[in-house]
Amino acid sequence: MCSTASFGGNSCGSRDEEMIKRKTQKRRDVCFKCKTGDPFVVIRQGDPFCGTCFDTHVIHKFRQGLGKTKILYPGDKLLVNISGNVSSLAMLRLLATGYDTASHKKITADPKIVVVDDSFMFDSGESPVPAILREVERVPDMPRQVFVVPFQLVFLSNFRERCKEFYEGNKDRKIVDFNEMRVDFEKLADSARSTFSNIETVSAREDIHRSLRLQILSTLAGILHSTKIMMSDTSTDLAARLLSSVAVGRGANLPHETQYLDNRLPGVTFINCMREFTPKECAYYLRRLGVAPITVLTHSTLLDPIVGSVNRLTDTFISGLQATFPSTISTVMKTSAKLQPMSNCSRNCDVCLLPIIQREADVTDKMSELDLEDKLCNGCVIALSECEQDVREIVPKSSNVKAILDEFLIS
Amino acid sequence: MPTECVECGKRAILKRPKNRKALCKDCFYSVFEYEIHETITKNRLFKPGETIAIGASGGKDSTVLAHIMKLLNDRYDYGLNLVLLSIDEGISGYRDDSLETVKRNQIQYSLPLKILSYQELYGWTMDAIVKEIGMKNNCTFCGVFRRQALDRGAAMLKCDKIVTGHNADDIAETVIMNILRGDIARLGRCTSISTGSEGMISRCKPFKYTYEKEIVMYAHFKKLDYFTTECIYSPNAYRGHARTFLKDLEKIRPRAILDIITSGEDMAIKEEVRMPIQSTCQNCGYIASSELCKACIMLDGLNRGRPELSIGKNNKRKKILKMTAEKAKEAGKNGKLNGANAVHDISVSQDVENMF
Repeated sequence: MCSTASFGGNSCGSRDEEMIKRKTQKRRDVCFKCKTGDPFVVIRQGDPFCGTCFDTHVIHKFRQGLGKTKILYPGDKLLVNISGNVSSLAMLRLLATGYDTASHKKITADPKIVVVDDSFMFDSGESPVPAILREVERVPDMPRQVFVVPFQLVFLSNFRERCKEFYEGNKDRKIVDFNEMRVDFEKLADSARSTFSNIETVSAREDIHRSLRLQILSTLAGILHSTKIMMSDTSTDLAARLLSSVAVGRGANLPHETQYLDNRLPGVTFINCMREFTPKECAYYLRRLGVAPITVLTHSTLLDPIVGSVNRLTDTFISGLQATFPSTISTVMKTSAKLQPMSNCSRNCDVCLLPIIQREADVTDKMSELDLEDKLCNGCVIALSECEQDVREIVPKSSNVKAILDEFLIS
Repeated sequence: MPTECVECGKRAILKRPKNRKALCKDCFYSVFEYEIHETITKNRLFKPGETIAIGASGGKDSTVLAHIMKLLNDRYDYGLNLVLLSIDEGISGYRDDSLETVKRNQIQYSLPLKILSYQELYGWTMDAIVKEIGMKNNCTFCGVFRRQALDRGAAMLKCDKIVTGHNADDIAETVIMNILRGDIARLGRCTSISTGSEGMISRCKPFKYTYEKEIVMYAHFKKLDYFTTECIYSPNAYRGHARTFLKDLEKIRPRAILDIITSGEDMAIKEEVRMPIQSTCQNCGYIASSELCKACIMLDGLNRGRPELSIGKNNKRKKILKMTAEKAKEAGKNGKLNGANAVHDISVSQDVENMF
């Protein structure tokens, strides 16, 4: 970003060139850490890692995050959300290193792996669950119990009670598959699909989808008496989320959305344990272990990267900027670390579970036509305002949102 | 069938960029003007009897601002004395033309006009500065100087407040940019509608919630006389990225601009984060976050012939200046060079170079 290259000889431009020259002159044929191993991956410009040093580096980084926050205690039930994407598989493997007998500081929390299956929403239709289960099976050393939750369950009335009942009956099984519940899954899937097709914009669809996913996870945490949920969003994901949260009016909740620990709900902590990782590090770690990534679709996967949705656009924007200005993501993450939640919050939003900040009535009244501000947060009001009248079906019947919507919406 | 105006049922001529509602010309005027009036009254921007300087560049925003301020002042009886204040940065082929527009506006709105130039305030024109530093970072100089020049001009005219034509798009863009740059201090204050600390003339932005596209439409339909050329010196790389992003976002969801502003207002900064402390410049008494204000530092850099030192970290600049002075002293002792030339001494420049 330095200038004056066009002006005279004393320019920063020539300095930049010199630096790059100096960097490239470094020996690149051996690992910069141990000076003996063959280079495997370059994650900082000019500093190649050998495979072993790279492993140590990522494992150390993973453990450092958990250690610094002192979040895990012996015997804790720890929900591990595995979606099948690269970062979630890397997270699983990194967590497993903590159970390795050779590990000098073992993780003693009790991991419960959760796979939420939403593949029925997308046209490809092929569920990634079998592949994920195979992958989970391959992980050595780790004690594990796996929970497979079909996404459409969240549309079931008294979702929580029914799931709890099912869990109580099957709690000792190695794989607790909620697909075995006596429920008409096809009907639920249809109602989920039709609800989502009634949301006009893909941006709102993605927003609500994510909220419902978090609801499933937190409900399951409640059923299992667990208070900690591991999420696998990388620094790139979180930087993009910060920006898209700003764009959808969730500015008050940025710390919850992007910091290492997300305490949006009292009693449940979402741990963003991959916050310091780049997707590249995750991908190369998996490559070291010979793990193939699993394709996972989202609402905007097949859409245009610019006009697809707010999320998709922010992703494209952040990665583009990162390519030109390599400090972008780390700067955004640093900005996020300096923010704190607003203090004037009364209760949590019924949809996305984020705290709602209280405002003076006339300040907010810029555009919103839904008068739900006391029950929903600003971001969800915006998302729901892009839904057709069937909006009331959107929100799980288990929560009390349906009642609110019935009360306030004119149909 | 023609689209009908949602307010009065007449034939609509435009869809509001803000919410895509169809409106006829008259309803658009009244909605547009009323919303700005609302912003002014709700935020209590002015008090009766105040003298207000309108920062006028001749561009669309400030031309519409001058028009609207005059209109609302008469219509709702704000009791304000309005003054146009222009800054002449000394950019030939751009500012001289736009100032002609401002002069015409002065006659059209019969408002007093004051033009202040960089040349008389700082002894430099932007043309000369660009010759010195090239086409990158020149906007940093211009921005810092203009901010101060506006304040000085307003003080000369004994104004109580300055209004600027910053619109919702500008503010949203600034929020995004401050996040990307990690500028937490500015992130905290960039969304406030009225800024100003003690002893300084406060500035406010009546267009904070007004979409740029609506301003353009208003100027277009009212046939206002404004100047449209982009500044010849502003490639403006980084802001450009934020701008493109924002325009793309607006296409997906028009209300996003307002949502970004709401988000910016809602952010809370951790108490333990160290923020720059605002003090006054030892040299000129203007507001500053270190011993000297940025304008004095930049001017000093320009006058020394090392303008690039005035951008970036302050302590690095001090260190380099100290080193240059020592070298100069030493050189003077050895009788090789006198102090004034030492700045351009090649060996010194190389030392400086190595520090980066």
